[in-house]
This record gives sequence, structure tokens and C-alpha cells, in this order.
Amino acid sequence: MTETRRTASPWWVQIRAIALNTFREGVRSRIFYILFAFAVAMILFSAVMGVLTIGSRSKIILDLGLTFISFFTVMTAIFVGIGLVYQEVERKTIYNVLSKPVSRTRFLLGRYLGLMSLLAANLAAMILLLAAVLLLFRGFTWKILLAAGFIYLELAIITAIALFFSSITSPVVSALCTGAFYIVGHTSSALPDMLVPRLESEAMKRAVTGLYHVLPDLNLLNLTNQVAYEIPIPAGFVWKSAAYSILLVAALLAGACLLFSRRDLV
Amino acid sequence: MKRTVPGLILVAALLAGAGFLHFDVRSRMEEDYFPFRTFFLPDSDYMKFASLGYRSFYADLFYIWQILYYDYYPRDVRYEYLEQTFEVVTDLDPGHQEPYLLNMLFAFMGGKWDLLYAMADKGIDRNPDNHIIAYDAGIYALTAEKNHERAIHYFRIAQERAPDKPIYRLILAKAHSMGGNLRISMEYWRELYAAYEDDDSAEGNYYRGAALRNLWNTKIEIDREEIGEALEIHRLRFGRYPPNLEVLAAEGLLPAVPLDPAGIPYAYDPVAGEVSSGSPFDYKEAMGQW
Repeated sequence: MTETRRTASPWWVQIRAIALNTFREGVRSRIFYILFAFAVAMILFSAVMGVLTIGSRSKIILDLGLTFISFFTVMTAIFVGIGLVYQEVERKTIYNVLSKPVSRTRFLLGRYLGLMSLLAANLAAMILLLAAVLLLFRGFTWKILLAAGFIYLELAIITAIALFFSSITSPVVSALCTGAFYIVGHTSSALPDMLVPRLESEAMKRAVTGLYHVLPDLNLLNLTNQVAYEIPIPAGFVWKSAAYSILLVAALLAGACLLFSRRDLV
Repeated sequence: MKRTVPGLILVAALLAGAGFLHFDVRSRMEEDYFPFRTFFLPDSDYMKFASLGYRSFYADLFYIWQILYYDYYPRDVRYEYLEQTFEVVTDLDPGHQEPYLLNMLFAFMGGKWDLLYAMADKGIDRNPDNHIIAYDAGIYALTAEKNHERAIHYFRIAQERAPDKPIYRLILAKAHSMGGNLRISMEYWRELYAAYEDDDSAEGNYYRGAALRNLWNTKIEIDREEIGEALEIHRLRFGRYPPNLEVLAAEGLLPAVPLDPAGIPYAYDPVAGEVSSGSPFDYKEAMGQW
């Protein structure tokens, strides 16, 4: 009798396998198709709105189209992302994976990258559709690819947040927390102009200003206006915003891995 | 089975009742219940916050709403709605030029000049590089309200922002001419002519031709005005018009008797005290003059 000794696959093969599985799972989920169908309908609706406007038709289609794409891809990230880990634990399928020589960190990274590839495919399909609509109305600009890149950065952050909460709480709490993060991220930039002038107490003003500096600002990643008005986008802005997003995602994933590695799954 | 049939009948009856009420309320909505639909729009500050960063998205939606429904309301409240929605649209997306132009058009249609100029001023203030809004406002002031001073004010802003656009020199010359400032108008025509003196492109020919024709006509108008004033002084002194124009120069009422743009003396009617130029505009002649 000969004894065959099985060696563990390299880390990147493990992560790729989990990512591929997550991608397939996402493609089969109903919520993904429902949100995708809504997004397609809304992009086509933006073409109708473009017809209703007077002047700057392509600007309106661009504005509405990019906003719908951003909103629906974020919704996909939240609703698919919140179940990434929790469902595996609930269905006990996670034990099949973790019983093999696969670390929890690799499992989480695989799940994250799987969902990110699903969102990339989703985003690419929507951008293609918007580009086709813009070509039809002679308003196409290559800059929508840059705007799409920034939407993807926002998706990377939202997915990381969803995964972070998914690895420690239930889907409902994850959805609430991720949704709250999304709202805070999109309103924090308005705090100094909107809230601070209305406050009377100096201490409150300082507290809100401090909060403004600490809270994440997802509006940094919204380039709709710059693309619609063909405002030049400085290279410094692009790389700094990208680096900001990548650092935030890395921090969130590291936190998620840390918490998940200590979690008692039994 | 005992319960199914009555249950279905009950559901059908409830649906029929709901359908009837739905039909009834909807058909009476506009005539009996609400003569016009109220439209609640939160103020700009709230919308900036509630738009979750997608300000231009909401600005576009309100702008399209304006296009579709601006004339839906009775005249006495229509412009209040227009002003309110204009404020929100332009606060959310101050760089979008079309809402300014369209709202100014709506204000013009209602003869709301103060509202029109307030909209223009906001657009000019929020868009320091934009010259179209000022030009548009100037056109309304010049052609609709006949407010030459205001028109000149807006055309000056447009010209300052786009000094290379000859149309603004042309329109400033026209506005001064229509406002009675013939000498200032003459200066603008001269500037326009000088800018295109050696330009043989189609645009150059157009603006040079326009400048020459207007220099020709404006000179005649200025001369007629000066001679007319001198003739009136002479008539007040002597009770009649002089037999010829040379008398006016001899009396010191004119430095010299001006000639028309073709270099020919003006025709003079001593009975009516009127002067006129019989020379038709001649491009070659004009080129020699200026």
C-alpha cells in the first residue's frame, strides 16, 4: 500500500476557488437579477427623461444614468454582501470549507473578491448600456469609464463594510449598519455648510466639525458632475481618492478578518 | 367549498367597491376636489442634505418637472412656484446653464422682469465664466422691456467674460444706438471695424461689413442731430431757418458744415429745416473713409 500525501493548495488557489464559488452563488441569486433589471429599466428611463428636457440632453442622461448605476450597484453590494458570511454559518456550509486547510482570512478574502468580480461584471454591463444610450443621443464621452472606476471604488468600500458586519452580526443588522454607513458617507460632506451654521453652541460646532473630519466621505468618489460638465479631473485627485479607498478597504478587511478569526462558530 | 364561494364573492365585492371609489375620486380629482395640485418642495438647504450627494440628479428631476408643469398652476401662484423650484434647481446644480435660460424665458413670458433679472444675476454670480446668461438677459432687456441701460449692463458683463466674441461689441453698439448714445455706439463700431480690418475670412467680412454699414448710418444720424440742433437755435434767434447750412458755420453754431459719409454735402430743405443724405451705402466708399 502506498500512502499518498496531499499537500494544501497555494493560498491564491484557495482564494480564487472561494471567489469563483461566490461569483456563481451571486449570479444565481434572485436579488441580483431583480436589482439588475431595475437598473436597466432606470437607465432606459433616463433616455426618456433626456427626451423630455430642453437643451443639454446628454448631460441629463449622463447624470441620471450614472446615479442609477451607482445606486443599484450599491444596493446589490449591500444585499448580496450582508449574507456573504452569515449564510455560510447558518447553513453550516462554512465547516466544509474551514475543515480543510483553509484559513478564515483566506475564506473572507475569497468571499470579498468573488462579490467584487460579480459587481465588476454588473457594473460593466450597465456602463455598456449607458454608453449605447449616450451614443444614440450623440453624447458619449470616454470619461464615463473614469466615473465607472470611481463607482467601483465606492462599491469596494461598501462591500468591505457589508462583509465586516456580515462576519459579526445577522443580515438585518448588517443591512442597517451598511445602509447607515452609506447615508453617513454621502451626507458627511454637507455637515460644515449645512449643520455647523445652525448650531449655537461653540462646543457643538467644534464637535460636528471634528466629526466631519473623521467620517468617511463617499462623495469624493462621485464624479458625475465632473464628467457631465467635462471638468478636467486632476491626476492628483484620481490617485489620492483611489489610495484613500484602497486604504479604507484594507483597514475594513483587516478588521473583519481579525474579528472573524476570533469568532466562535460552534 | 362552503367558505370558498362566499369568500370569493366578498373579495370581488370589495375589489369592485375599491375600483368604483378609485374611478370616482380620480375623475373628480381636478375639477371637484383640487383645482390645482399642490407641489411641496423642501428648501434648497434640506435638499442638499437629503440628496445624499446626488445633487445634480435631483436638480435634473426638478428641472424636468418645471418643463412639464410650469404652466399647470393659476397665474397668481405660478411664478411663486417657478421661483421656488428655480432656487432649488440652481442651488443643487449651480453650473447647469439651461435652467437659468429656461426660467428666464418663463419669467419673460409672464412679463416678470424683476424675477427674470434676479434669475440672471444668480446665474451670472454662480458661473463666473459663463457669458451666455448675461447675453440672454441683455437681449430680454433690449428687445422686450426696452430697458437700454440694463441691456448695456448685461452686454458689458458678457463682453468682459468673452472679450474675443465680436457679437458682444456689435450688440453693445446696437444697444447704445437704440438708447440714443450715438457717439458711444460709434466707438464700438470703430472697435469692431478695427478688429476685422485685415481679416478676409467669412466672419471677418461679415463683421467688417456690419461695422462699416453702421458707421455710415450712425455718422449720418450724428450729423443730422448736430445740424438739427444748430438749425433750431438759428430759428429761435431769427424766426426762420437759414437759407443754407454754411450760415450755421459762419454764425459759430457749427465748427464746420459736415459732409455725408460719401464726402457729399447733405441735402437741405430751408423751409422744413430738414437735412438728408442722398448717398446710398457704398462699401468701397466706406472702406476709404474708415
